[in-house]
Amino acid sequence: MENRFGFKDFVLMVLLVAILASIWIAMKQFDRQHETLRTVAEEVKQQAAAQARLERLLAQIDSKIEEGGFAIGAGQGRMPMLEGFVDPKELPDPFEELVRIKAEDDYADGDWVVDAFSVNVAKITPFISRDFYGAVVQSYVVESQAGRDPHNVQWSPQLARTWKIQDNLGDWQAHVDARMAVPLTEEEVLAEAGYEAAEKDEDRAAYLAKRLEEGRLLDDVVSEEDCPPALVVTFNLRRGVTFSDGEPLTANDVVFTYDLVMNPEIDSPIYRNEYGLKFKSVEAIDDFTVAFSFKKPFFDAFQEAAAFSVLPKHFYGPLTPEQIERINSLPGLLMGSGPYKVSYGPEDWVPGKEIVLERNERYWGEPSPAARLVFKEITSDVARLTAFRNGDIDLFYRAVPEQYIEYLKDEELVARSQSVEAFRPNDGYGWIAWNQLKNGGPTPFADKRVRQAMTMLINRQQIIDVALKGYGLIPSGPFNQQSPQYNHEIEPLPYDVEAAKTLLAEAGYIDRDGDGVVESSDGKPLKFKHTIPSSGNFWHEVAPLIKDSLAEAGVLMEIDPLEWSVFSEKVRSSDFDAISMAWGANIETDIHHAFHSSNIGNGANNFPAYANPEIDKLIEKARVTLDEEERMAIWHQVHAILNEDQPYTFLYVRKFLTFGDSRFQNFHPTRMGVSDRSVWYVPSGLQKY
Amino acid sequence: MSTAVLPSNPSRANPRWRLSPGWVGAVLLAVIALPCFLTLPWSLSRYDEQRSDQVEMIHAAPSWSEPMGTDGLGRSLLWRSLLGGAISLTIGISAALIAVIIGVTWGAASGYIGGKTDATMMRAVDVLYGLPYILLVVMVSLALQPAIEHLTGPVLGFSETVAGNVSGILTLLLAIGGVSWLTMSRVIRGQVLSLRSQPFIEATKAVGMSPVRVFRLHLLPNLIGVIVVYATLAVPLAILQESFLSFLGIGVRLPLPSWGNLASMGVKELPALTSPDLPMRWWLLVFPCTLLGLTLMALNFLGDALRDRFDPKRTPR
Amino acid sequence: MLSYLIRRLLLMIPTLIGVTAVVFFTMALSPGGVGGSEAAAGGELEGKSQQAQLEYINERYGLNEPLLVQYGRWLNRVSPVGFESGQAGKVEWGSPRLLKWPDLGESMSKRRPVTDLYREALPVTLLLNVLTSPITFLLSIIAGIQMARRRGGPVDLGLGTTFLGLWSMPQIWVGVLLIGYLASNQYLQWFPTGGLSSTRAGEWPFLPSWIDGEFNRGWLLDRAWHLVLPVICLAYADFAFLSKLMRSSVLENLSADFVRTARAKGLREKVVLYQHVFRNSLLPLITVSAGVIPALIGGSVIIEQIFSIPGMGKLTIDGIFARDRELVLAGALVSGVLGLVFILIADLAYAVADPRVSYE
Repeated sequence: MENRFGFKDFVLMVLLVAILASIWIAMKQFDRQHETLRTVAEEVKQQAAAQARLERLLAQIDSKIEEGGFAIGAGQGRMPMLEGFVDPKELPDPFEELVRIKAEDDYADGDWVVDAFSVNVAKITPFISRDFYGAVVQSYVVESQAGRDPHNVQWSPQLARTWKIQDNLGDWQAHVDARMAVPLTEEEVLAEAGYEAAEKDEDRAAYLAKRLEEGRLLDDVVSEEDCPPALVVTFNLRRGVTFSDGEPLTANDVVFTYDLVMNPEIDSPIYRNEYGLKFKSVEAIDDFTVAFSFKKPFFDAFQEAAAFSVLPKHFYGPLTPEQIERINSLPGLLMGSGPYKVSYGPEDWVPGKEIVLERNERYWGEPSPAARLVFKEITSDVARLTAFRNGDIDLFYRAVPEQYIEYLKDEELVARSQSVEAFRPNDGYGWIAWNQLKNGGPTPFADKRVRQAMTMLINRQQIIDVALKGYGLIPSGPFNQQSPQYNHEIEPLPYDVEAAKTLLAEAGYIDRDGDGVVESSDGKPLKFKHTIPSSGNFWHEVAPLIKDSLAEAGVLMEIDPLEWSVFSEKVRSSDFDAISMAWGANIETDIHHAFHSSNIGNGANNFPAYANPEIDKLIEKARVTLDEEERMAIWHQVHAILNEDQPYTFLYVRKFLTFGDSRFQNFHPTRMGVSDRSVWYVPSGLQKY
Repeated sequence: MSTAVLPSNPSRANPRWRLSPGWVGAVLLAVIALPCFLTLPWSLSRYDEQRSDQVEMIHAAPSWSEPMGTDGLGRSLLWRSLLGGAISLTIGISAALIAVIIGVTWGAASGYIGGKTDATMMRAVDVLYGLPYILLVVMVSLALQPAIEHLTGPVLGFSETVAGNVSGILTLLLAIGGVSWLTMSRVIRGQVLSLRSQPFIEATKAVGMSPVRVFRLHLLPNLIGVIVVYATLAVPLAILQESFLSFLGIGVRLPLPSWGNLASMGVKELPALTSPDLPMRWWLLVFPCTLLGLTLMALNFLGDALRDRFDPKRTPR
Repeated sequence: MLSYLIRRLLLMIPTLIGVTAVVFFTMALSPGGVGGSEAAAGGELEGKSQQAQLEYINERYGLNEPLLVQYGRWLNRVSPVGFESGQAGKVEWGSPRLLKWPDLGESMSKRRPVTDLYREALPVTLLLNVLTSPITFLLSIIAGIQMARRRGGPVDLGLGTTFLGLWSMPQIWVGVLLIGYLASNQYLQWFPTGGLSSTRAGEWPFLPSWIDGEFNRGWLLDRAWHLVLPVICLAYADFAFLSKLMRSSVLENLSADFVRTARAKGLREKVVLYQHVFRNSLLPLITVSAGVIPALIGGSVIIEQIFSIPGMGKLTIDGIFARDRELVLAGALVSGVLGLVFILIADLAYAVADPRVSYE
């Protein structure tokens, strides 16, 4: 009995385990310090190398000047390559704001900006990462040819010094017309991938018949080798730009990045598909000139080319199978030429660790004030607000209205912070889509009057007041009020129960048996399910409001909350009556995916099966119209028709709400919301980190 | 000082009507549960009565006309709590019942038969045991959903709305019950295993008693304590698990209420705690959470008392 | 004993195949389907791009194959004995391997090897549980004994009621209250609001020290400080159940014959309690612990959510909601293995603690 495992032994064992565990942890810690030391040594070596290069360069310039080969102020005329390019002097200076704030009396370098994401970021590797927050981090590390100036939304040069846009539409149209006139032969179809892919003989035969009837497709013609590009956007890159490890950035890196994205083994199908539809090629003309050719004219061609991120070839390449595996699977493979770099090293971040960016001391442009940008992950809303209140985080970016209201009510907190509220041109909108085609037959919503009545029955102002606490606008179409696409002559349909009832009656929906519910002529009550995502609170708050307002006119609505994966299956198979979600937007948004009739069925985005030949034509025309003024006029027409047709009820556009610590100077509203954290500074007395 | 440890049962000396936790639990449970079930006919028709167009009814504080206040859509929290209680209790009791029946049968059979059967049956339990709880519940509900929807829809002929709600609740309680019996069966098996090696069970074998008789006459009385302890814990556990699933958004489907749903709505009011200037709509949190907490406690007290009564070694008579 | 052990270990194989098969087929046949939300992740994309995206996913994960083939491929990939795996787990019949490293595949929703995801999440969850389990068990055992000793007295009633009260409070509520009162500068800012380390902790020394005359709590203490609230939140609810179990089991034993004998022998009450009753009373706890420990490893979604801790619970839930087959299957496999191992250990411990039970 004495030598049995007793209570005391148990305690002893626990102690022993605890001691062993702490020793192990201590060893890990020493390892970590060693690692830090090693990276520091590596860094010093790199810096030495960079300095050496710089000295070499200086020496060369010196010798050039002595030889007299350097004509100062010679102008662009001497460089024939620049013909047709926009004069760089006419383009805005991307660092104008930084230069201005650095001249302020209280300007000081340093301090950190600590932000917190509300979700866990899975990856920050460019093109592989698909979450929004990954893109936020990348925007400080990776640069593209040009970016939008947040103040006037115009393009300002980044990596590019200047650019030119060549319109080749004449040649292109001639070639396309000629090719389209040639009838499609059987041999050509037999060589197509779709024919090869069909396994059974009857499938192959069906494919052949189908293709022969369709004839030659525009998409096939423009993809042919000898088809001239419709548009060419050429960028002249800056000299002296280096990546954060000191290697120079050249046109080869741009081409490499394109090759990387288009490599079928790389896990970036979304980019690959989009680029594959648009880009014909990306070619380096010389070390500092790169040309993006387009298969078809696209209104947003310049945007696609300008915003194309550039990755270092020496770091991501060569694309061997092992390297591709690394790119696909490492979560934090991130290096670029931007003002910041990942402080753990360009490949060492792993999910769960907070993302720390430190200033890239080799940055070619004007350095940003903040020494570090920290992105924490705080998944609980309460904890995030508390962390802000405690000063653990400095920024509450894109707060939801409830949080913002809470913030505003706390006077002490408001006193030591600053906030921005703004409607941004690139914010999306929430909607209800009315399915017009279900199980092969038309639904009540196939009647335009019913859809209009639905919109007029829904009190959108109430929805905004209740669910968005008033921080929202009622849109009358799929465009943002702040974007030039929006047609301000179109007023949203009013909330008008009587008018709606009249419309319903016109469409044949009248309360025939006096039970308070409207019925169609064959006695079927107007009753439908409103499918919403079950996660989150927002739609649970909105849907009952809609249910209530519809009941006033005798329309029965049932709320059908579904888990996201089931929800998206219903969306893809158009198996719903009415469904709610939100679309994202851009400064200029292409709505082809949601409203063009070619995107009906096959899981494409026109899932309510809205078809209007006029809209189809207008959208197609707008997409190929390069002249902005002309194009906006077409979008305005589109807007008017969509407001009339009401394929969706356009519910709300959210207001952008953000608050941050008051120690940051130059925290002010811009067209894009709030000035970027890369231009905030903290006077030396107020610095925290 | 050793008197406190003496096995003599102090409660035996006390008169029956003494205010014991068991009675408190039973009364409390009755006070909460009875109104929930008795008002069902009314609460079913009134739980979803929205008054979002009347500003004064949105987030109204408790008053004489609305004793528990209203929520953001002007729905009466009293009616929602009553129906929510009925739903939560139904889920809790049914799930516990399912768990007890499956668990005891499985565990006792496994432990008593022993040998290869025991090994196989216990492997099956191990299989399920090893999986994360949530995974199991979701799996069970995924597997059952089509069958139950078929049952409530075409077979029982409910209208679409009712069928949707009923099948949701039915799936949930089957999923919770179908997962919670594992602990029960393992514990029962452990008990049976150790009982089996005791002389009086060996003796029944020598006499040639049928296993069912042995189970009923000799095993069950010895197991009842454990069963009751686990069963009374299983009811509140199932209720708690329903609320947990509701937090995750896979519990009772809104707008149908359950205490878990209501409490999780209430928890959204908690951020107001961190700032003193904020008006807190305390009733949204306090009422559902109190009801939930009190019910769970009542059930536990009751279980404790039942254990004392049913324990074969301690029956006063 | 050894042959019993080997038999049990071998039996794990069909068991695990059973588990994963059930999970696999339930997921494949469930509404939403495998990778359902992945295909819809395209957002504002053209129909053509979306189609291509869908094909890409089907190709990459072999979702076009018959279900049995898919499951077979998965089994082959995770099995240490089998064949090389090619594109989308295709079995390369030509290259058999006697021993290979099990490959858990790639998570569809996170686009990363599942092994990496587990390597990140598991230590965090283990750390939390290694701290929490001994605390709950120790306190519950002590409380259980005390409650049994003073049965019906104020200690018994008081502790029992308190524990039950604690148990009856939903975790999410307690967690948010803890942050609200103990981590907010409005009340007591004793603890951090979440996470596992302070922002600068990486630059700090390991142990508490004085740097330039200023106290620095060091990495270890900082980590401990961050873990206090999550551990409390994880532990408080389990007291009720475990202490109740311990109490009833002690009471059971106190009324057993051997205790009467021991008392009759004139042994001191303490000796009776701690040497005779205590050991026997641990039996039900051992049974239960076998179930509690794998469940703990499954992680607690709510705690992880509230305190922003990237652990296993969050990973599993994300996987289930996204219908991320590889992630969920790996979760089933890993927790299945752990669960079976712990149950085996518990069974062995049972045999050690209760001489009447034998596994020969």
